Amino acid sequence: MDTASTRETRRTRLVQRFHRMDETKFGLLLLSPAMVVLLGILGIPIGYAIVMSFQRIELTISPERPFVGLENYAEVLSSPALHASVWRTLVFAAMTVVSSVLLALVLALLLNEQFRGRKVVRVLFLLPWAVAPVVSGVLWRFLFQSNYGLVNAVLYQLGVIKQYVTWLNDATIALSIASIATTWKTTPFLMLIILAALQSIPESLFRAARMDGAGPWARFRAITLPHLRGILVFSVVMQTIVSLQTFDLIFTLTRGGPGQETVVLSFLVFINAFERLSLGAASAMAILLAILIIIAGSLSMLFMLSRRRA
Amino acid sequence: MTRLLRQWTKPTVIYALVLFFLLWTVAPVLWIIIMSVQPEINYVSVPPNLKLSDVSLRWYGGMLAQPDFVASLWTSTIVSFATMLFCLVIGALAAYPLSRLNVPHKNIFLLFSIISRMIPAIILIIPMFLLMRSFKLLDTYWSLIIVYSAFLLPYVIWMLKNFFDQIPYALEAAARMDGCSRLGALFRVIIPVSAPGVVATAIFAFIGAWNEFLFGLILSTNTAVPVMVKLSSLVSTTFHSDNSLVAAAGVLAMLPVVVVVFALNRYIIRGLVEGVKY
Repeated sequence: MDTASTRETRRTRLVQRFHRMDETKFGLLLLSPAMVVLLGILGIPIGYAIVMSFQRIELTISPERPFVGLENYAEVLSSPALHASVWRTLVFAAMTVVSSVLLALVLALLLNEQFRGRKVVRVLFLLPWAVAPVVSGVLWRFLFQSNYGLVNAVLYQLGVIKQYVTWLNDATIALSIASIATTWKTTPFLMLIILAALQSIPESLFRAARMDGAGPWARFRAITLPHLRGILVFSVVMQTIVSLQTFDLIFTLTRGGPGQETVVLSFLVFINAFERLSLGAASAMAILLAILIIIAGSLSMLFMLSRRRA
Repeated sequence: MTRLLRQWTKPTVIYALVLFFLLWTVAPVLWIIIMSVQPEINYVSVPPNLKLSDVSLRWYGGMLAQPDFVASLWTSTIVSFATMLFCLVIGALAAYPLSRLNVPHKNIFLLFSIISRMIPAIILIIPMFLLMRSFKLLDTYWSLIIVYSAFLLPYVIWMLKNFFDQIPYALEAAARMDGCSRLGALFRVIIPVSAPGVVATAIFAFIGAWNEFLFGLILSTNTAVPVMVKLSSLVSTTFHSDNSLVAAAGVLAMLPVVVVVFALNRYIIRGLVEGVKY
């Protein structure tokens, strides 16, 4: 039945249909692979995670996964480990957001000035962005290591400390170092987008202000800051989302130590899922973290949409 | 007098600040490089006793002689290139209608791709592990390529769309008049004309895949371990081993991306800025 000629005509008919397809159908056809990937590889697992957060899962004991309602959430929300971790994560995020956005602003303003070697400096300032979070963790671990750290060596030489300090064994210092290292890693990206916004401010505004006798500080307050407001809000929100889910860098910097003192929320999810194998509780925790991030994320979206309309 | 003072102070302050911040960005990387070419005894001693005469690349040789470390570099290379290709093809196909065609509910697609960028990876690790296990894909290149592509795709679509938006419509119309098909216009006109943007996007996807860690940690055990996971295991298990070796491994792990960023920074800077434009 299926001779070569009928196959041929069927193929040409398909090709013709493809070429005659109206714009809408054609567009949807092109969009479909991306939609399949996003819905299939991101969407389905998210649904799965939500389902699991309502189940009791004991992989090693039985394959049964009975639904237990909000039991996991109740268990997670009443655990002191989670409370400590939420608090730690918020402190970490707050420190990181403030320091990285401020530093990014300073660096962008600096790069916006005219000086020799500016292009080279810009690339060098970008360097931490290229360094993977895991490697950044290793770098800062080496800097603050008790017996071979650069920080100890320098401070000792300068006479600031009498003997080498075990920085990463001190709970509050370890979390601050994690924050400093994250700032180092994430600042360059924010610097770039702030710099782009700076460069889009029309030079004529500054010239006019100078003619009117406005000093540098007055020009910064009256022209630069208002123009940067949008991008700064965006940076804060972006950085909040990123900081709330930090994992890689802390994994190699402190491994959550000393004790549990740098176990941020992502880390806690990881420990519960893959070390304690309590998948239900870990899923519930992950959902709670996601809700926290979605709140921060929707704030950014509201902001962006309002800016678009303006 | 004050004028002269100001003429001198401003550049001085700028250079001082530049120097200070260069130290901040570069010193951590320099330190690991120094550690990677010095015997441990030199930097462990108090004060550190760094010697130019002791500089040696033997720790790099040591790492590159370890078959599983070389295998991890190889895994990362394959996975990153495959992810890049995957993202570019699917991303370009999706970005074209979003930029050019009259698709209904276009805003919903755009919104959808912004929302997908906010999904925290941590929420996916457990379901992804279980799904990959049931599909027997754990510890394979495919599992990594699939997950990385899905995570990077929203960024790639967004960047490409912004780059396509900048191409004048007339160019495409002319190609269509000359008998170019719609897909032909995409592959023969739009993509070649926005080549710098496509390159920027490709680099972005490659870097994203190379530097990824969390999913690699969960999805791989022996045969498909990306270099970042390998590095993290070196840091945690080698209490008594040579830190120069770990430093060398760290440098090797970051080297490809750092080289690419230095070599192609113009593209990358444009790409990064374009990726956040709304």
